[in-house]
Amino acid sequence: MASDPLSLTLSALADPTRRAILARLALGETSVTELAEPFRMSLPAVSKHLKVLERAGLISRSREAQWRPCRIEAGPLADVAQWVEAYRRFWEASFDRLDTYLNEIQRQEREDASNK
Amino acid sequence: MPQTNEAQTIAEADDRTLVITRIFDAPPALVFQVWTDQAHILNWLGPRKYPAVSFEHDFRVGGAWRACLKALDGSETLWQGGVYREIRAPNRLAYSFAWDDGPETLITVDFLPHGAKTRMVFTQTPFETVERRDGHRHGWNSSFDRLRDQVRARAA
Repeated sequence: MASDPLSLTLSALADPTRRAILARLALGETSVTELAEPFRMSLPAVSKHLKVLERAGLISRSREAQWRPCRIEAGPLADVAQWVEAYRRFWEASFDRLDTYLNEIQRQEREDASNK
Repeated sequence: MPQTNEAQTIAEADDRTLVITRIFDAPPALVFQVWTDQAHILNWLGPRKYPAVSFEHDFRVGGAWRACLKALDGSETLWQGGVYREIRAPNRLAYSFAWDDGPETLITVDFLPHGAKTRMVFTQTPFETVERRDGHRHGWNSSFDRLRDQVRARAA
C-alpha cells in the first residue's frame, strides 16, 4: 500500500462514514460526542475514524479546549482536486486521439466497401 | 452560514470525481470495440506525446489489464493497470485503474446511443471501496441526506 500523502488522503476518503464526518465538519467545528450522534456509532469507533482523517491531514484537533474540537483542513482536498485535474488532461488527450481514430477507421471501412 | 458551507462541501465532493462526457461520431458497438480490443487501444490510449506502446489484458470480469506508455523522445516509460469489474457490451465497461505506485481508482464508462453516434460518459473516482451500506446509517438530518446522496451519486 502506497503511503505518500495523496494515497493517505485517498484511502482516508474511501469510506462513506469518514466522508460524512468531513461533510459535517464543513459546517463548523464540532466535538467528538456531537459527531458520533448521527452515526449510531460508539465514541471509540468515531475516534478511530478521526485518527485516520487526522493522519491524512484532513482534520485537526485543538489541544486548547477540554473537548478537543475537530476542524476540517482543506489542504489535502485541494491536492486531490489537482490530482483529478492531471487525470482530466490525460484522458482528454486520449479521447482527442480516440475521436480521430474512430473517424479514420470508419473512413477506411467506407473506402474498402466502395472498392469491392 | 451553513448553506454556503454545505454548497462548498458538495463542490469538494465533485472535485474528487472526474467526469468527462463526449459525443463520438460512431455507433456504441464500434466505440466499445475500439475501447476493448488490444490492437485498437494502442491507436488511441495516451496523449500524443505519451502514447501507449504495449497493452495486454485478460478481457473478462476479474481479468487483469496492463498498459505501458512511453514518451516520444524515449526518456520515460509509465505503467498503468487494473482489473475488469464489469463488461456489458456495447454499453458499459468498468475497471480499476492505477499508475504503478499510485492509488487505485475505479473507472466506469457508459456508451449510450445518441442518434447514430455515441454519448460516452466517463467517470473516474478514488472511491474504489465505496459500499452501499444503508443499514446502519440512520438519524442523519435532511441536509446530511442530500450530501450523502450527492457523494454517492458521484462515487457510484
